[in-house]
Amino acid sequence: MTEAAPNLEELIARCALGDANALQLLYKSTAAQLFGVLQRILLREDLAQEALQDVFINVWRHAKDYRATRGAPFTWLTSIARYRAIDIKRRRRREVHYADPAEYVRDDLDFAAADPLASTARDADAKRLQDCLRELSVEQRNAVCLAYMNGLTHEELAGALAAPLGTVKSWVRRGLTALKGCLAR
Amino acid sequence: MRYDDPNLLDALAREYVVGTLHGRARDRFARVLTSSLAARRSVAEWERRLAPLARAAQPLEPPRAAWDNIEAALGMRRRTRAVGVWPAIAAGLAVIAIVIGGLYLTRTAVEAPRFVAVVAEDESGPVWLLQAFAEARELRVRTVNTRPEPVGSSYELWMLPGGGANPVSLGVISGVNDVLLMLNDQQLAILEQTATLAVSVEPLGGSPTGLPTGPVILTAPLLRA
Repeated sequence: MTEAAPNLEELIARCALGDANALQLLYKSTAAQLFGVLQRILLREDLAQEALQDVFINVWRHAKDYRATRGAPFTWLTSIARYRAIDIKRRRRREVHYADPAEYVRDDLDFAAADPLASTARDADAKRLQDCLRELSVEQRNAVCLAYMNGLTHEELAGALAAPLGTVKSWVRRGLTALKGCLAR
Repeated sequence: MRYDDPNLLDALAREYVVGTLHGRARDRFARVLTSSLAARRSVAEWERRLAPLARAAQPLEPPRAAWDNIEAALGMRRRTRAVGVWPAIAAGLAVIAIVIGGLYLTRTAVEAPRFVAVVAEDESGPVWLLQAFAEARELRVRTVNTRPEPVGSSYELWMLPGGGANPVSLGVISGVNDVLLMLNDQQLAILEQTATLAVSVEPLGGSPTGLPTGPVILTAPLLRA
């Protein structure tokens, strides 16, 4: 336990008991990271903000369920955020004109060079995932990262990576299967 | 579809977590998740495997309005424009209240308390037992008789230093659970000059102003142990 960073698990437990201060601290500790995740998927700040609000409202209401899931607290928060973003993106697809899929990936396409995990490599899990990502082909790695981090659908991946739909589906599938095998070693 | 096939389940979980499962297939799988423990396990494992990638996203400061909207949606606080939420958060950081689970019991008190107080009601007897430890910089608040908060409210503990000085918050306490409050230097110093503690009823989460805004329900003398 560190003095400086509040213990997220403890804050979630306090939220479950109705402690509003804990929700504030949880927000202060995680909102910027989650907003980064949301903005990356939703692109529009207003939608990312809507998603972020939903996330913390849900966290407050479902904090009691947290223990049952038994995941790490940041993983739990990230999952709530990502699923919310994916829902919003789906719901808004008809009313929002998104940029060309290629715009999603302008700066991020070369993941091997960009090293998306560099800032978190100190974390053992991140380091292992990074090593396993390196074992994938470039195409598989890009497809998996763009799907997970940017929330691209198979169709959007096909556009972004200029490849047939069936091919990107297999990149994602094989990439994830290989990751699972590598992480289990 | 046969959702009891573990390979199929894992394939769906994988695409669900990464986000490429969509449309009706996603809705169907979301329903499967509510009833299938195996599906929930698969999803949890994929979430755990991939979560470090989410941490690789560049953190981005959300608009200020986001927190205000969360508070409003949860009915936590009616705030005046003049009082920002960040001072309240800063106060929250200074006085980190830890609700005691098993944690409290595992802490052994090697240090004798510097101050004690018994906050009691006239009719029903003691509600809270307080022990302040100077070296550990902790204030342990044991709820010996529950006194649930009014709906939408919190109890806040104050030092009344006397001599015309303003009350100083020690933090939000619970009418149901034991609470461990952390004391900073300033609070410890003021505690030395305090003869009386008070508990007030505040909006959920504590006073938005840093001073008591609600009625003081109980007071107790602070005794040097």
